[in-house]
Amino acid sequence: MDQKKEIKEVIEQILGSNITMRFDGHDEEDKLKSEFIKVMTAFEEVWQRQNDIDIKYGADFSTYDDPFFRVIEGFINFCFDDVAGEAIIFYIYGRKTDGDEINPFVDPNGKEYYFNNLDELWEFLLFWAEEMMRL
Amino acid sequence: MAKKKERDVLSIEIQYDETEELEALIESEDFHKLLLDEAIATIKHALTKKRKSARVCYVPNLECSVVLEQRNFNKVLDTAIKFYEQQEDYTQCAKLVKLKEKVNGSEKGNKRSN
Repeated sequence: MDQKKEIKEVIEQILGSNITMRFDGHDEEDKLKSEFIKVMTAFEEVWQRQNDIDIKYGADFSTYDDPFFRVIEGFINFCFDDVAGEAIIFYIYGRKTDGDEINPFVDPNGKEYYFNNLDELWEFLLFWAEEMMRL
Repeated sequence: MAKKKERDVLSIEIQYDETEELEALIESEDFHKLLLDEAIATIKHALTKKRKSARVCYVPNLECSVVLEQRNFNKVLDTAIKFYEQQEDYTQCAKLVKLKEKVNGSEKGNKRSN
């Protein structure tokens, strides 16, 4: 008998009732989200670092860094649909104002979305993927 | 909007090599008390939150939660009453009888609303 079944029987015997053993582990979607957040956090840090160097030391590395950012953007556009790719790039470059306020992302239908963090961007990407499936 | 903090779920790792070790667990009064007390607490929580099931504990080595359906709340409370009768803890028994009444009231409410 497998351990899950044996443990279930023990708990049922103690509680005097049927129970359900519900799987609550991490599934593939959790792993994908975690990987996405890790990569996006690194992307955001690199972008932020370039800005910080410019602000603090007056050293403008944008010309030097541009090809790297173009490579990243290229991969994003290669992997995601137009709107999802735009949302991801917007999150890094256009989400915050100089005063650290949040700008909305506007989809092709004019609907606004506010991404306060990467979780909310991820939720939008899932939502948008579902929208695309409906078409 | 900030999310309300959920009740912390008890995590119990149950590791064993031989079936005899599992049988020892069945005989352990402490383990009975631990599980029953946790079940009682989660039933109370489920009633407060008007939920149809209670998550009693989490078994990390199986990545599974032990879930109790509302229709079985009374069975568990009966088991707990018997356990505390044997312990001669009649105050706890009285509390559990009251909790059973609440469960019954809640079930009737659900039937009415269906």
